Amino acid sequence: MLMMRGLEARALSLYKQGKVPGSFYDGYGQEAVSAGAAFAMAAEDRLCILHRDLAAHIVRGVEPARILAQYMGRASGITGGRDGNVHFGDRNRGCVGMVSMLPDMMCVANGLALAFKLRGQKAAALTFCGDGASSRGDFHEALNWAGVQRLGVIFVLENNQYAYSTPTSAQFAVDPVKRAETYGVRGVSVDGNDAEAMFAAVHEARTRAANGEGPTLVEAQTMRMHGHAAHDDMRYVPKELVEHWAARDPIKLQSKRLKELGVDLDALQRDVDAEIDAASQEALASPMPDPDTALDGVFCEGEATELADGLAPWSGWAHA
Amino acid sequence: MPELTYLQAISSALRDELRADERVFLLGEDIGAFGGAFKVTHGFHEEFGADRVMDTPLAETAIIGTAVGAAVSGLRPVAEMQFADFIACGFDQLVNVAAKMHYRQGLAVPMVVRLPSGGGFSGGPFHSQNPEAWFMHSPGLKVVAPSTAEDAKGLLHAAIQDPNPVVFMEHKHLYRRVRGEVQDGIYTTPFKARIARRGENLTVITYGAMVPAALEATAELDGVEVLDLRSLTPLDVEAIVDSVSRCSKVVIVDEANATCAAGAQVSAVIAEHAFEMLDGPVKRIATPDVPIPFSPPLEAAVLPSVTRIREACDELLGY
Ligand SMILES: Cc1ncc(C[n+]2csc(CCOP(=O)(O)OP(=O)(O)O)c2C)c(N)n1
Repeated sequence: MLMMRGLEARALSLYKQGKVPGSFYDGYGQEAVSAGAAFAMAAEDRLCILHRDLAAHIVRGVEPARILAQYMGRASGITGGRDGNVHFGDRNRGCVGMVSMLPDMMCVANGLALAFKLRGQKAAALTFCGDGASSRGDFHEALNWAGVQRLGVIFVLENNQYAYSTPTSAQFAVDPVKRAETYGVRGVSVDGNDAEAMFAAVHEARTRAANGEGPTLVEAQTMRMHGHAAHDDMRYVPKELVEHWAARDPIKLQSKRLKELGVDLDALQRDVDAEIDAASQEALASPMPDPDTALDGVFCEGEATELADGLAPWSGWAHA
Repeated sequence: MPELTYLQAISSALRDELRADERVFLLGEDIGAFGGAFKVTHGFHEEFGADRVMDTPLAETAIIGTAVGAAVSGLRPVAEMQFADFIACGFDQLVNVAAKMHYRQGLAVPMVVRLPSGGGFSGGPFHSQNPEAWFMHSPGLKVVAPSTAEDAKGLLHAAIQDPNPVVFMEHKHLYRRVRGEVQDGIYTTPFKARIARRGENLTVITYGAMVPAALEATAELDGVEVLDLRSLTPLDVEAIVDSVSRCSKVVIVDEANATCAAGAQVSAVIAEHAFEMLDGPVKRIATPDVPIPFSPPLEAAVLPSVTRIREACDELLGY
């Protein structure tokens, strides 16, 4: 979570310096959602990570320097400059990069889970999804299909109260958890600012998924604490709402717990900062892509490339 | 060599791939026990089971998206749209997720989408379309359109073995009308044009159902070549330029709507690369820009016909 917050802060300052082209999105205040969820996944599991979920990439093992290079459109970024900011997934870490169209990746995650099912593998696929995106057809087709085929898939619905400027009250009349259940998908709602609660909910969903007990939608209740993107001052959000959630900052919450366990948080923060400084230097020193390569890679030539396993720092699935 | 219909040739390719490669599976609406709207997968359910010949919910977006997920996982999904027209409902997953995947992150998406396409049987505006140009305009997709039984099988084998998403246009009008000798077993047909009949006075460049129409239209004419494109992406520019260079006069035929059709691209290729070889204006025949009407006289009034092709050739030969 610290790494996500620090990296995004660094990327934002690079953006303000004009070193990050395009637009800039972050997941400030939502770090517990992707950190907790990704931590509950095994190396062989597959993930489609979205635009507020940088911690999931970090947990899977994507190096901070490559993430900053990605924001800056450098050759050493995960997509080598072919796609921007958070639109990436490291296939060598078991991840399929998101497309802008939300929530298309829910259907893709079903396919990842279907592949496990057809091969008789005990593993799971996970994707994130926003509250706004739950209004689109892909959400409904994906939930329905996952319910019908009892796929081992986990949909983490990040309910951060707003889709760009649109509050959930203007987005849906029926709660997403209830909607999931009507499709035959188990639905649970958790405090998305509590990393341990996120971990527990996804851990349980993953156990069920891998054991053939079907799909789960985990609603993570959280708040988008920054504007939709860097250009957005989120004037439309009531101040009291922001204050309410500011008091429930996920990093503060987890820090308190860790302090009680005797963890040296200052040392941890120093390590993270040093790593980000080094990553930033490395990314800034890495070259921009060669314009002569702009046409390369539209098609795969030769053997089909495939997904490889990601890191799974929590080893709880080793004997699963 | 056995003689198969175009439809049997497609079935044969699917069956051979399912037998040879355990990564291959089929998904679509009503393709299982029922055997598909056109019976392409008739009997497959018994041989391969419900997992490999998978009936899906009526959900084209999810069919394509699920196929993408399975493909990047190393499987070889072959998705059937009940009619080509319904790919409009799965368009986003195909052009945004599947097509751009390899360019963006170097991840291959080896999948095939079969599109039973085309008109001529009162299918009306939603069961007659030829949407191949939509996909030609979407970098990252290959688009093939066989006109013979032999190519239907060979191109489908090649499509399934290709590491990229391939849109396979299979023309409904050819399903049971076209038959021919087809090799046993697995063979692949390259994504390149083929000379269906050699000539030197004029070339008709076309693909799919318009190939037999062009052959029939020009059977009595002297020295008319028919170039069957077979693949629209990649487009065989070399074969087009070669044919035009030898024949100097060109008629391009699409069953699709005229604007921005595959034939429009062929016309542009000729203007750029073979202008000096021309001995007359490029002539195009295509369906005008109108939805395909239902009633037989209306439909016949818009679809390219053998007569229209012959008239165009006659006119150009006399130029
Ligand atoms: C299909 C689609 N329509 C519009 C957009 C533009 N857009 C980008 S993010 C966004 C809001 C998404 O809200 P939500 O799903 O709640 O996710 P959040 O950004 O709040 O995490 C919109 C409208 C998009 N990406 N995809």
